[in-house]
Amino acid sequence: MAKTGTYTLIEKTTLTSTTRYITFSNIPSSYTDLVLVGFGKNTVAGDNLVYKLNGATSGYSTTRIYGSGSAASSTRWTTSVPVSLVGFVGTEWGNFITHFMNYSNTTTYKTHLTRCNYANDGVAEAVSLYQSTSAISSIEISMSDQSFASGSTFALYGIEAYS
Amino acid sequence: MAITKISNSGIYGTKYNDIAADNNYFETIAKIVVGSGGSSSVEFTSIPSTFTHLQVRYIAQTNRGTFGVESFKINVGVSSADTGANYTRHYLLGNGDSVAASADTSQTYWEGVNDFGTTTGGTFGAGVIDILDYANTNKYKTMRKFGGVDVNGTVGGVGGSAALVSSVWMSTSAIGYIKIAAMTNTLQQHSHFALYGVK
Repeated sequence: MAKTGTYTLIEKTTLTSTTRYITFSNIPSSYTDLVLVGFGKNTVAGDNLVYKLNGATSGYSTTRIYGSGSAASSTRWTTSVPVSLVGFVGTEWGNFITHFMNYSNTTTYKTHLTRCNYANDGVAEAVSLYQSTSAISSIEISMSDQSFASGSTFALYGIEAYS
Repeated sequence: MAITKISNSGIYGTKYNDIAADNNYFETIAKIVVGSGGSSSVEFTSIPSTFTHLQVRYIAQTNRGTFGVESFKINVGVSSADTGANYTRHYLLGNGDSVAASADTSQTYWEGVNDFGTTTGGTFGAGVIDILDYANTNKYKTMRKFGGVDVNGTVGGVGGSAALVSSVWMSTSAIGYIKIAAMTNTLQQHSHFALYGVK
């Protein structure tokens, strides 16, 4: 059955102070995909953007491509890392968007796709794997070492497929 | 939820993240889930011309016996697949070790690059395909894909892949048909393709 209301805001938050961790929890499983839109910057220097899904501290891997404005490179992280290294956060305001594809199915490992767009720092695309067949019900957003500046915003959307 | 706020003032400048897709402007059209036994291709037919753009969101896996990645092969048309030499391609790819870019002209299909996972690699690829202004009968159609496959290292010496791919279908006809297949192998169970219309 066709649906018209299929791209829905689940939750949005705006930081009122420098914050290390932002978590969306109790995510309903009623959608097909999730889209996380972040707008933020680092308080000190550029740093990795990382996710922790369902509180898991293992089972993540990523393949990333990055362009600095003068060179392009690609990096791979395997399951030795305790978080999903999906991109980076710049020192000036910019945005990142992650698509959690088929996040609620309980059959396949979960793939999420991220783009990071920072005019002063570069652009990146990453494909990341969460090696779990569990539905994703929580997403913790942080950086490897630093914190998000006050004013950063994070919005989580759900997309329903035809049924 | 409409466009909730577009501001050029305040300490943040333009707030891109507030320009959200309106809930009523992103609609489902169809969904295909590959069943047991697999499928050589999936097809979206009789696509209405009432939207401005189309988006396909997928996870997919093939039964390729080597490597953890396989490229897609897409044909579009009015009511069936155009298999003429009417497709172009550009791509930018990172495989964890290096980056590559290439282009092709006058192809008989839109070839992606490492878009699907494989049973050999044990993972599914994922992607978001946009087909822009698909119903416009005055210009060629631009398509693009954002996605990739991660295989937690390498499979057969080949890593996963994050890639951007674009194509032009050199036809002014409105697109009413989309066929998606793997370059060589068969789409596997649980592969999931959802088609949306953007008003």
